[in-house]
Amino acid sequence: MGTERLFGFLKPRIEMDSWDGEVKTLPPPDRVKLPLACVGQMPFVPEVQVGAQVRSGQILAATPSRTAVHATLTGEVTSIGPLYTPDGREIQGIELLAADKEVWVTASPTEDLRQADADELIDGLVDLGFNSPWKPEDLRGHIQGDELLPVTSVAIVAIDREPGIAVQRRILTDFRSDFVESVAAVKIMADDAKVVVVVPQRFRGELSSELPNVELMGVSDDYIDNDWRLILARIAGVGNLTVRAAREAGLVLLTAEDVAAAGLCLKKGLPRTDKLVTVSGKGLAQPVTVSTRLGTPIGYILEQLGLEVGDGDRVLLGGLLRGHPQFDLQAPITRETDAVTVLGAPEVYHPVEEPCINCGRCGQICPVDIQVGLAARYAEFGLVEEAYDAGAHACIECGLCGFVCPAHRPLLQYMRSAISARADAEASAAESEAEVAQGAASEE
Amino acid sequence: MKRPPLLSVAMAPHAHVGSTVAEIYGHQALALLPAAIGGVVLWGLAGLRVILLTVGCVLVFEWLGTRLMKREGSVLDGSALLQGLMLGLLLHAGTPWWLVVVAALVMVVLGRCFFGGLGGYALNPVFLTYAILLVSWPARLNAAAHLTNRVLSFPAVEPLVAWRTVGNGAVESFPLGSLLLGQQIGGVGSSMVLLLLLGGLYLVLRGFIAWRVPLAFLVGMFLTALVLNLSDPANYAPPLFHLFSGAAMFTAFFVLTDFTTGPVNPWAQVVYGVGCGLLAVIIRTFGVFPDGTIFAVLLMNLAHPLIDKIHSPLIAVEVPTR
Repeated sequence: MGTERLFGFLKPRIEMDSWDGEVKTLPPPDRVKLPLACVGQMPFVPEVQVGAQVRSGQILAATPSRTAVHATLTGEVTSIGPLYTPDGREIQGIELLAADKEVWVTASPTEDLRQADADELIDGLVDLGFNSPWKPEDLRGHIQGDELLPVTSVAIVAIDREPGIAVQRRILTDFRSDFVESVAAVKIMADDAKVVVVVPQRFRGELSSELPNVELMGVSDDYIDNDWRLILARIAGVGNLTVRAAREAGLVLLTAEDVAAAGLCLKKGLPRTDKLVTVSGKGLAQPVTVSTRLGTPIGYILEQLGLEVGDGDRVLLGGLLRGHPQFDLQAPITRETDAVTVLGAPEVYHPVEEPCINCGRCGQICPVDIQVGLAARYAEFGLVEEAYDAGAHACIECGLCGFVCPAHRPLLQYMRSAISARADAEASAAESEAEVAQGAASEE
Repeated sequence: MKRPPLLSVAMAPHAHVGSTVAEIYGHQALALLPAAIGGVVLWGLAGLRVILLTVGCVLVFEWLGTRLMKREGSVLDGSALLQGLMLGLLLHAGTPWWLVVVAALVMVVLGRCFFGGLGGYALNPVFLTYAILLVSWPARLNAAAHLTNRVLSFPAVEPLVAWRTVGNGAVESFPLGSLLLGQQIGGVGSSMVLLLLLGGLYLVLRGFIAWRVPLAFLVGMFLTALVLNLSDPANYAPPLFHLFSGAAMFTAFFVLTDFTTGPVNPWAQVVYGVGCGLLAVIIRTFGVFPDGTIFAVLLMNLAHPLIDKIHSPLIAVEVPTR
């Protein structure tokens, strides 16, 4: 993947690949695990107990704003307990064991999305448990935090974050009519807000006639042009931004798959249970995109595709540049999982703690011009503030620095460690400040 | 029941472009080979003896040093090989064996290990070593004095020494063509101007060194010499004489481009190179030592962290307006 730089003048370039195959639908697994937390949302409260029998599509847990986790199988709730997110944080999750026969909850379909009015669509999405950026008036009293922020622009990304993944772009090829109809529905809900659909450049021409009312943004095949955060920044008219700052400014990023799924679910009147995932790695001649139930264990998917995983292999949720390694094949597919990548033990890449030789290749390739080598050396020796000032705070975590480092240093990890150490320090400072304020208040 | 597989976990990215440190230093050493061969052709077995002895001693000392520092394996990273070869090419063919051993020891211990090895040193180990030798054994390093028992087709005196002693009149006895072909008294291979240039161009084209540094250095040297020469053609040597004599070309492509002791940001590299070229000509013209390049490099090495503060601005996180 990627090419060495040519003649020393060009940066190594990583291109998004454009292979396509058919989308393979997997039979439902015999058990699923569903996480009860999602970044940027209020916590889910379980509405079922262990031992309960549930139907497919039944609400298992919901937030006060009625964003819900639905059963993706018909069967029994076997446990409500700890579960790990792809990046290793412990949260709560619900486990279901499938029954022999699948029974769905009653559907309440919407006839034609294009004819519906905004309130109808917004209410419909709430009924189906979607966390849409638009909330009905009667719910607003129950909502806190980010979910209340107004929406000024919506970016719908039909591009994948990393090479080797074909999920979002498959929506344009395999689910084109559903997607086009769903974008029309988004446009209705968005009202005055700007709707930007981001697609690979080659799709731009053919889509412009099908999506006449929205702004189309075409991006090149260069990996870094496909970075969602930098795309948000482009739409916001700034160089770089944090996802949180984008939301505060009224920018919402929706993936093409989520948009198409929302439209399909509204039409069918059933909650979302499926997810597209690209599986690639050892034993597969070409990556395969599969449609599977949310909560499916990775192990089940690999088994269905005939991939065998052995000791020393690496299994990633995500792609090669940003993916999170998993230690357990029972880890579930979540809404954020676009890919499962399997690396055989011999091809596993091991970064090492070798000293920096100061060659400067990391800084040269950095898309946001961080002095990566310097920042990483600061972070390596615990100088968090200095690392932060050298640019770590601007890091978009694209992974290119670690990809090119000839000393094989874990550069992205150093950036992340500086960012998280700084966040921890800020949190504890805020905490102690709050304590002092509380102490002062109680003294009075 | 079969136990689940034990999976390997590590942080992203999980792919690598394939470059290694050994590859970079290996190619730099490879690019020095033409100059080394040229040196052996010119100086015969005496030249080969110095090169092999230096490289061998450096590798042995490096092996011992890394073992003492508990950083085994780094002897294979190629940087010791490269710097051993550089030191070997810098010493003249008549260098006594004990001085070579001392030089290797000084370079490995003082130049590299004391600072923490590869990536840690602040001064280029090769030039630091040569500077220490130059101050400690000036007579032993006088190439012309030790290479007298030879029949040479060119003047048996270092061009820069001749120029400093006699003045601009000496320049005429060193035609540019023969300087270019390495027909001059100096280190075994450090004056093989054309061959070093070829090796350097190979490195630039393959992207193993930053192209701005050598270019800026040569331009800086040329312009400074040109200004001096234009101001007083009778006293100051013409610019090309500076570029083609002594260790100028060697410095441009192999010493200044050392990553650890130089800046990484594009404009900082330009300032670094130009500054070094300027200092080199000034020290050559007004200083005590004829080849001031060595001291110019060491001074610029010290200033490099400061120079590297010249960098393109970060694409910083901004707060968009609503």
